[in-house]
Parts: sequence; C-alpha cells; structure tokens
Amino acid sequence: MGEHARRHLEAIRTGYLIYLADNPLKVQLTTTLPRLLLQGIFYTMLGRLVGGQSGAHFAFIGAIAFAACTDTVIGVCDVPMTDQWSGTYYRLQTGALPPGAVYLCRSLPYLTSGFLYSLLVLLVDGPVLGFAGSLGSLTAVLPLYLLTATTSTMFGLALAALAVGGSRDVLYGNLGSYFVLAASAIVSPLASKLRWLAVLGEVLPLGHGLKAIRAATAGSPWLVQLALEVLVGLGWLAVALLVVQARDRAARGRRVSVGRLHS
Amino acid sequence: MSSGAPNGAARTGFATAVARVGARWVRILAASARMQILVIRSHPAVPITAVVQPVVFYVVMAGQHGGADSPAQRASRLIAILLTSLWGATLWAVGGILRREIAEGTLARNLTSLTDPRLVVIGKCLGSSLLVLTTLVGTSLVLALVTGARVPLDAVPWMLLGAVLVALSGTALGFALCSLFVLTRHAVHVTAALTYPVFILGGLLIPTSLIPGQLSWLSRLISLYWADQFLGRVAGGGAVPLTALSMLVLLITLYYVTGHVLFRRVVDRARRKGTIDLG
Repeated sequence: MGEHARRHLEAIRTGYLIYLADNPLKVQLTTTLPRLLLQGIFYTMLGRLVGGQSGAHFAFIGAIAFAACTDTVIGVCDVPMTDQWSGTYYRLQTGALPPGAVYLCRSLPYLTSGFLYSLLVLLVDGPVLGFAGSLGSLTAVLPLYLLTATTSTMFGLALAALAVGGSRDVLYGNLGSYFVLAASAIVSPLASKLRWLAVLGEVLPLGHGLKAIRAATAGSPWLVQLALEVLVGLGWLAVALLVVQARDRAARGRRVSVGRLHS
Repeated sequence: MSSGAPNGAARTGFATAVARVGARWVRILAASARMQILVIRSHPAVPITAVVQPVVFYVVMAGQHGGADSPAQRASRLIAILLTSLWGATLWAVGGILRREIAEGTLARNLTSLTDPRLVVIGKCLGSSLLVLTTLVGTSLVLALVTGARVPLDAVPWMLLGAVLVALSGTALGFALCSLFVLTRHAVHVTAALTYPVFILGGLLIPTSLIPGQLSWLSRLISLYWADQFLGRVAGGGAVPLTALSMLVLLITLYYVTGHVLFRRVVDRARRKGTIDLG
C-alpha cells in the first residue's frame, strides 16, 4: 500500500474514532435509532394526512432518504468544527494531507451511519406502516439511497465549511436539513402556490435522487435524475473544498487558526 | 369589641407580609426570566424551532385539502403547527436550563443562596417559554397573514388566555424536563429522542384518529393536546371547551408537581455524590 493511501486510511480511522467518541453505540441504540424510526413514522403519517395512502407511500420513500440527514447534514458539521473546538487545526495545516482531504475522509463515518439509518427506517418502519409489500422494490433501489446519503454529506460538509470560524454549525446544519425537507419534496409534492421553492430544490441534495427512486420503483426512466443528483453532489463537494481552501489560505495569511478568523 | 382591633391589625400585618413576599418572588422570577432571555436569545435553537420549523411544517402541509380549505381550517392547522413547534422549542430552549447552570458553575451558588433555587429555575423556564412562545406567535401571525387564516374577533380574549396557559405549560414541562436532562451526559441525544413521541401522539398535526387505539389515550396526558383542543375550538368560533381548559390547568399543575419532586431528588442525589458542579 502506498504512503498516500495509508495516510488517507489513517484519516478515515481517526474519523471513526472521533465519531464513536461523540456518538457512543449505547447512546445511538437507545436514543438516536428510536428517534429516527419515530421520525420516519411521523413524516409518513403527515404524508398520509396530506395525500391519503399514495401520499403515505410518497412520504415513506422520502422519509427513508431524509433519515440519513441527521448525520449527513447536521452531524457532519462536527467534522471541521472538532478542530476548532480542540484547537488542533494547526496540526492539519502542517500535515501531509490537505485539510479538505482530511475532512472528506472523516466524513465517511457520517455517510455510512446515514445510509444505515435509511436502511433501518426502510426495514423497520416499512412493515410497521404497512409497506411490507414495497420492501422488495425499495431494497432494489438501495444504491440510489446510498447516492442521496453521499450527496447530502457533500452538502453538509459545505455547510460545515461555511460554519467554521464561528459557532454557527448548529444553525447551518439544521437550516440545511429543514431546507431539504421543505424544498426537496420529501413528504409531499410542493403545493402549486409554493412551486417557486422547487428552484431551490433543484440545487439541494435528495430532490433529484428521490425523483429517480420514485421513478425507478414505478418502472419509469430515472437515469437523467440520477445524473442530476450526482451533479448536485459534485457541486456541493466543490463548494466545500473551495471554502475550506479559502479559509485555510486566509488563516495562513493572517497567521491565525481558522477558528479565529472572525475574532 | 376590644379584641377586634388587635385581630384586624394582625390580619393587616399578615397581608402586608404576604404581599411583601409575593412581590419579592415576582421580582426574582422576573429577574431570572430576563436573565434567561438574554442568555438564549442568540441561541440557534430559538430561530430553528420557533421560526424555521413552523414555516417548513406549513410548507409540507400546504397541499392538504388541495389548498381549498376554509380560513378557520387554516387557523386550526396553524395552531397545531405552533403547538408542535412549541414542544420542540420547549425541549431545546427550556429543557437545557439546569444543564447550562451546571456547565457554567452557577448551580452550586443557586442552591446555597438565600433565594429558593426552584424560584430561580422556574423563572428561567418562564423566560425561555415566553421568548419561544412570543417568537412562535410572531411566526404564526405572519403565516396567518400570508395564508389568509382568520379567527373571529370575539375569540381573541380566549386565545390570549390560551396563550398564557400554553406559556405556563411550557414552563412547567421545562421545569420537569430540565431535572431529567441532568441525569445523563448525552442530554442532547435524549432531547432529540423525546421530540417525535409527542409529535406523533400529541394529537396536534397527526389526528388521534390515525393513532392506533391502544396508544391514543396517551394524547390525553399531553397538555399540548388539550391546548390544541381549546385553541382550535375557540378559533373556529365554537363554544369554550371547559373540559379542555380544566384538563390543561390540571396537567400544568401535575407537571409542576413532577418537576418539583424531580428537582428535589436530582439536587439530593448531586449533593450525596458531590457532583453538583459536574452533572
């Protein structure tokens, strides 16, 4: 194994250790997982209220993908913030890997757990909500759910990069998550008077991915939506890396830690 | 006749003493509430739960009835959204009060001061509740203007009474919850976990008719359910639902008593273990 690959693997391993320290398994099993299952039930019931049984199915497909956002949009904000809180950013600046690469490696546990949350909501909430018959078709599109977990992680990382330097990670992460919920048609299709929100949904994660998933389960063409979701993810990845690089350059120029850029 | 004057003087003296103590309590409550508002007004939980969340819930629910509902139905839905968001806001803004006291090292000073520490904590809960409720009412008014939701003018006094009771409900709930949240180091996760049970079982956005029969009785233990019944009925121009009003007052009292017992136990436990400043 090359030195470069070994360094990346080490960054991923460190990321997992930090993730487990912040989110111990016992806490995840007793609080996070029940919350996610109840969240899936809540949004599916909202969908039923808005659009009847077909609305419930629409919302259930969205709730599976949205379950990941707890970690991929909100949780992932901890990745760059950890160095700010711990005062360790200078170690990244002197490291062999650029900060952006380290953040990407450390984001992997959030992506993985986000995808597992989606899987759990599918497998547990599905039968509870009366969608046992849809499990087959939805399991077949799990790679598309993995894609939405990935694109939302890129989005979360971009928000996190913007939050560094202050204490706005909670605000940005939650705002991002709510924007996705509102504009990406997670629970119900946007009402006609709110179609303008669809413009925002075009550049947010999950929107195109969910269109692809709904089309794939209905037997309609879905490759174009898949390509658009990939583009959205790449766009947010570019934003994340550019912001990290710009912040790093500004911090070096002013000879301060990134966490002190605004002070 | 001769004993009348001393009795009257004693009664006046007693009334003066009670008034003095009452005024002191009100001053402490007001100072604690003001301090708490200053502390949390810039906390992200306030705009997220009291502005963003209700707007997003409105957007999600906008397609209900194909958008062809009456102004009263829209008002009723807005009240349900407001109360749903209030639960989240109560959890985040009020539930963390005692935890913050420990983190900032002020709990020990509070417990050893001349003032009853519960008065300070309840004042802080009241401050948080007032801040989030005022913000939520502002958000709801804007949404009502945008969506055309209307309530009859003669319902306004009852709505104000309902708002006062909802603020007291949030205060009492927060008082009970903040004692619970200091029992764990992972209070943030526990706080998040408590959000959805009430979202689902509270009978607010999700009608109790959609909840399985074995679980629907749980709604009756949640003050926000009765607040929704009360506010929804008066906003629709119906008769004042006295049962809902009585149940709301009863549950607020029950939450306060629970908070009182929990607070005493948590403080006793912390004193025994020597962890007052450690959580």
